[in-house]
Amino acid sequence: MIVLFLCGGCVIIPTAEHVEVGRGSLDNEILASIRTGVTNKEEVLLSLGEPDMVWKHEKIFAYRWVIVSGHVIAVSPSQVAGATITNPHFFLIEFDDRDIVKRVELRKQGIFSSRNPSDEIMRW
Amino acid sequence: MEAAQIKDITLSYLRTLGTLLLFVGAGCAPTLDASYVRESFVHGRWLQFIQDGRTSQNEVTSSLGEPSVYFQDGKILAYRLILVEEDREVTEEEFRLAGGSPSTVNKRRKALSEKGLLLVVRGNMKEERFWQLRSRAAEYSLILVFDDSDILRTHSLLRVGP
Repeated sequence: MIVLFLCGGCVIIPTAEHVEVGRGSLDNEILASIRTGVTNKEEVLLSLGEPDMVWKHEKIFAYRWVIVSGHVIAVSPSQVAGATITNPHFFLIEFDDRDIVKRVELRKQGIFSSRNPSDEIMRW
Repeated sequence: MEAAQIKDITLSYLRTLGTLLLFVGAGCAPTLDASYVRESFVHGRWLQFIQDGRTSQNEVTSSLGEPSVYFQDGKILAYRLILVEEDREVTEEEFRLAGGSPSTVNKRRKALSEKGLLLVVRGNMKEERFWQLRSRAAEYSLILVFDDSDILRTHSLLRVGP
């Protein structure tokens, strides 16, 4: 750290990927259990819990979690600042009029993407 | 946000990161004990009254209050629950100083298993109890499905964080 202070600059520290914000990540087994044309809304709620976003009169559910991939520390002789490298994930589910799953998608936001993920999924 | 606050946040961040790196570097990171935050433990400790085929919707709302959200015209109730200290709210300063070493977390989980509170999170609480929400030891989603006579047909309790 002393060397960093003297030199100044930016350090990226990769970490083991882990969830920092939102629910724990939904594993592949759970995601695979949600089947188009078969699974109903009650089953989705029982196996995934309360969605993070609901819209179109309960026709669309979104589950959100954020994976942390690392940390950035920027150092100058007079200041130190830290930030976290994050990667938001969304699992989107649409139901038909009988409350059966009609469409699903796992959407991952790129680490360096500047798009607002919430705006994008509202247009899904 | 003032400069002093930014400095505090940065220092707290670096302290946590430094501790983490030391543990990882030394290869001796203690492990987290999940036994006190596991769904089965939490159900038995705070939600024992919830039983399929027996519990009515009235009994649930009398004990837990209004749900976080209703689905399917009120036949499905969803509660977002957080495990926090019963007798007081965590302050911003305590939250920042607490850190998150596994041994501290384990100690807190054990204390909460004896004197903790399972608090229902509702929309209007997110600003009022910001630090309590941030400092939660665990978060759960409780889903309750009722039949036409408003008796619990099935339910699930899932730990959704942290």
